[in-house]
Amino acid sequence: MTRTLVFPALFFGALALLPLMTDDSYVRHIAIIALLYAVVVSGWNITLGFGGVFNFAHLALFAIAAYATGILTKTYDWPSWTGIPVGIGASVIAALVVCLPVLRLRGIYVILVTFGFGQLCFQFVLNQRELTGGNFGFVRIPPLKLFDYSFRSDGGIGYYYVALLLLLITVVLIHRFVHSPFGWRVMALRENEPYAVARGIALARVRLSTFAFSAIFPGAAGAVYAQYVRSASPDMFGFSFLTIALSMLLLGGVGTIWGPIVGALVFSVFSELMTPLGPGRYLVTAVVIVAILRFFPKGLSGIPEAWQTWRKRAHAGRDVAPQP
Amino acid sequence: MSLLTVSNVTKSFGALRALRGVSFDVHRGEVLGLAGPNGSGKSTLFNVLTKIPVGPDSGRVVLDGVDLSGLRPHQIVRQGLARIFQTETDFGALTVIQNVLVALPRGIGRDVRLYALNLLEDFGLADQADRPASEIGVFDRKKLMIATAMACAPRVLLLDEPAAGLSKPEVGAMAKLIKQINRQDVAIVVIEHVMPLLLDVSERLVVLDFGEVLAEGLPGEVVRDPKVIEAYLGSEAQAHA
Amino acid sequence: MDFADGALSAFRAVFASGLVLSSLYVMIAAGLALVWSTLGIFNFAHGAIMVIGAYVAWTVSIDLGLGQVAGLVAALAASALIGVAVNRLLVQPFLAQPNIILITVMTTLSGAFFLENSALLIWGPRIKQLEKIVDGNVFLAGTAISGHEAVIIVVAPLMMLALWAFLRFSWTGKAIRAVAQNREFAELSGIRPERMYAIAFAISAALAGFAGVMLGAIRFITPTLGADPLIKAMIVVILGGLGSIPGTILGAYLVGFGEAVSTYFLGAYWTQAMMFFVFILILVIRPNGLMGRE
Repeated sequence: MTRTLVFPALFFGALALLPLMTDDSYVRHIAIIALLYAVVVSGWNITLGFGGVFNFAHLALFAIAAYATGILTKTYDWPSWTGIPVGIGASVIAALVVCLPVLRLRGIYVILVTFGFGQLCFQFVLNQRELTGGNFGFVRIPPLKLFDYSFRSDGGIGYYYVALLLLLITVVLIHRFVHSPFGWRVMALRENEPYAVARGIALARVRLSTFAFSAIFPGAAGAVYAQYVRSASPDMFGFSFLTIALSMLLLGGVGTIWGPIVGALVFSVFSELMTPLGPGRYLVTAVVIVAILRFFPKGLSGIPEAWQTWRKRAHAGRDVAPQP
Repeated sequence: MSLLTVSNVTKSFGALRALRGVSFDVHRGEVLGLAGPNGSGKSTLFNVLTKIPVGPDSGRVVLDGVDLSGLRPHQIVRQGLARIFQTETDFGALTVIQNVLVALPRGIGRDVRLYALNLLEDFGLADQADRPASEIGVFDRKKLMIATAMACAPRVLLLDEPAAGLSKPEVGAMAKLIKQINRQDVAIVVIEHVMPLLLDVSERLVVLDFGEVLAEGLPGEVVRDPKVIEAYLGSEAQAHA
Repeated sequence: MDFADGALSAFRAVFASGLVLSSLYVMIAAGLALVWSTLGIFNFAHGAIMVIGAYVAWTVSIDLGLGQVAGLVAALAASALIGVAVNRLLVQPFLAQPNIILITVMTTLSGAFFLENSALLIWGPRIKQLEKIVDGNVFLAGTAISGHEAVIIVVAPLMMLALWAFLRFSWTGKAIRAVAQNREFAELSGIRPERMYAIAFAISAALAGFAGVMLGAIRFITPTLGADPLIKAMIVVILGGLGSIPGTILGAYLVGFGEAVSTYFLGAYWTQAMMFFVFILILVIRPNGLMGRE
């Protein structure tokens, strides 16, 4: 137990100290976005990695949460602290709606219907210009404020810790999920659906719960994102955003707790380093996705295992005398 | 006394009529053997009884007075009708004990892990409880599949070729296991091509041919029935032709 | 203007624009359907290939000033080549995997991302437009449409006829269908499946490239021009029951006319939303498409 806590403690300890090491506002901005990405992608990993269901509307949930937060706290003057609950609520409701058709479908149809849902939301946002700002996005969202402390002050350090706290909660919740009967049922359905049903697992109920649970994370992250960058844009429903999140997930490794988090952070740093390349970095991104799928299907989280088999083989080579 | 009543069950796949009005009873506490040539509809029968993937086109299935037609597949399991598949099936990424835990109904009591361990003990799998299910042996995976079925607390257990691919000593162990389960007041319907096992465990036999019940009765009588011999020989003659 | 006149002019406008849209969708969706029926995968890079076709035509015909024919030929060659590359790099390496459909969604999505950003790098963000194939206007059912649009309307069914005849009567076409139906059996009869896959992909991509050239003269060419037609083509293919040529044609004309009617009465914004709603509805009610069998 203590040993398993070493890595998380070091990880979060280092991240908590990061603002003390640099007060560069650009670095802080990248860090906040990367942490929010990690939360969103971890949530996606619940349906895609643990559940084996390709929900291509996951990023739409993030966008929906951002819009819901923006609209309610700006247009309807809800206090800014309601942002996160509103984001989660909107995201979970949307996830349940998108899950209903998914219950009846398999394979490619799940991708198409979830993708279609995202596009439907996108069209709705463009359509309802008065409500959403249409093409130009929804701007000037009120920043997060608690007890007269505006999170915009002190160079946005408050947002950094909110995002870090979200990630910590994410890790705790997903860790509990993976070690709970609910989590096992979700994985059982992924492993073999007919067998799982033949063992009394209620497909519809478990799948709806899985979608709702996974929607909490883009919901919270979408709300914080909207309050941090103070806008929500229709681009959040687009292909590019989806592709970037997907590469983070694949880079880290699906179906593991830390994979998507490490993937999101590594990818963000990587992506920043490539900024001088301009659009060229997206070419690298695309190549990286295909290369991972082709050569490292387990992503970064497959490295320890590969390392161990390599060491085992090296040991075996030394211990066993060569055959004549 | 009839525990499971199957009456006039039919199932077609396009032009193929896989089951043509199958009726039989499973009595409380018995082991019923289900025999028949390949393609006679035995596995299809298990599939439609459990609605995995779909139920029958027509006909009624009643388990202990409850009509199963309105129930969804997982509810049928919870009603007390569990099955195993022909090939070893497991949740490979989960541990052996987690395979059992996901199958347990709610309200088993406080210490579910102990309950699951006891169940695994009955199948000689307790010492492998925390290994991933994908890493245990073939016979153990077969036993695990039966153990997870037992975790559903069934009153009727449907076994589809439990001895397929097993060695001779393992077949003997499987026969013992089936009898042991049967002693816990679980009625069993078993499909099996390994005839010695089928004759050893079954108290009654139902023979299917072309989706119909061809014969039903005591094993010793049924295997001497000319119609049954004809069906088996006929299908073999066709297979050799 | 009395009511009958109003209805008539509405009908005319809807008819003309519906026919143009349908014809474009047929060209784009046919390629998507061909790959789906041959390999059982959805090529998300299909729209991006179309865009590259339009850009190449622009470079050759306008930038280099070599004329429209050269531009069209170059566009077809370039898109076919990209199609072969997509097949070779993004599809073939994964064919043996059990969840090939899902993996190729990710790989071809990456391919689309790659192609779109390549276009941005090569041709820059400034919008471009191709010249129309024919100048002047044509009157169709009492409505003026451009000669270019008239060409699209006429060429689309001819192309479908050619594709149908190719698949039906030529040796290669029959071989492609054989591979699609039963790969092992086709292999036993001496057909090389990899080759057939490559050819199917090349034809599919060339169809996309052609559509790109046609579209590039009536819309502005941008790196993301392909996204919207791709999504429409997907709706068409689903509606048509995944893969059959007649189904795809029917689907394309349904979507095209549906879009035209809806745009006329509900406006462009509601129409797009409506289309996705109908799309989801069809997926849920009849996942095998309107024409597909159970």
